[in-house]
Amino acid sequence: MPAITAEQQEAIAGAVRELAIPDIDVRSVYFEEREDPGGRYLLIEVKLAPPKGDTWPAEAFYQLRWRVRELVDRSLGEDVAYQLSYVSAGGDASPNEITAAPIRPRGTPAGNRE
Amino acid sequence: MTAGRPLAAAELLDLAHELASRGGGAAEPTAISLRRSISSAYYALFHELSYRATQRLLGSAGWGPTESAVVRWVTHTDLAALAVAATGGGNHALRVALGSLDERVVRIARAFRDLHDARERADYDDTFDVSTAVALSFVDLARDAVNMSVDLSDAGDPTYSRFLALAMGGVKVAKNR
Repeated sequence: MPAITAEQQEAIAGAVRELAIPDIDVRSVYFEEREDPGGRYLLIEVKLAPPKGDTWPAEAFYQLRWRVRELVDRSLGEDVAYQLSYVSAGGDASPNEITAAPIRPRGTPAGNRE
Repeated sequence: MTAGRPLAAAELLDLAHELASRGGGAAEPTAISLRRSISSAYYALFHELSYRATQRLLGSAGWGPTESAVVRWVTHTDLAALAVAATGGGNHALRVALGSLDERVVRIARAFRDLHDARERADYDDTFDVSTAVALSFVDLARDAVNMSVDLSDAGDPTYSRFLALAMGGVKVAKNR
């Protein structure tokens, strides 16, 4: 997988932040090159301002996701495998879950993902 | 072995919603519940598409041992590749075979791609900062896509039928073209 340059990252992040989708505010865009048993890929994580209600308006969230994907496809081309992810600024996972002791070290056996 | 029944998308969607909700109590859902919610939402759409593709291939109204076996022919990677082609990317031969699609088929394909990415993080990535808002949004997305699948199937939409036909081995054939 070709490496993505810092300039490409900044260009994509800037374009995503500038997408004008009503009721959805993009806070930041994070990039990380990763590798798993399926090969190398680029994680692109879009952090959104928390919604006013339980969720963002469905149609607005749909428009955002699809415009981001089109933008990334155009910017990176087909040779770059990527994974698009969305998080809410101020994730609300239970503190109990976060502090729970691990049962055993993490790790996914290679070839065991489907 | 007794004959089974198809894994019902509606039940998986209800479970996904329950996992991401407070369930009427005061406690917030745990991170693992939110992760399982996203995964269940993905599987709701995956099983809906697998069920429809199997029905289309076998032409059967009921569900028995043959359907239970054939439904396993549909794979996550094939559906992901098909979804990419249905949204204008990926394999050229697949795009040609798909042709022009009803906009609702394209929306199902887009939903599948988004849910596939979300489920990968939910199931395998311990750095994923999962939240109720994201989990519930993906449940809504999956429910919308499943409803569109039901509508298109009931209407006998020919472009959806083509999409489902290619889910059964079409991706593997297209890779060699």
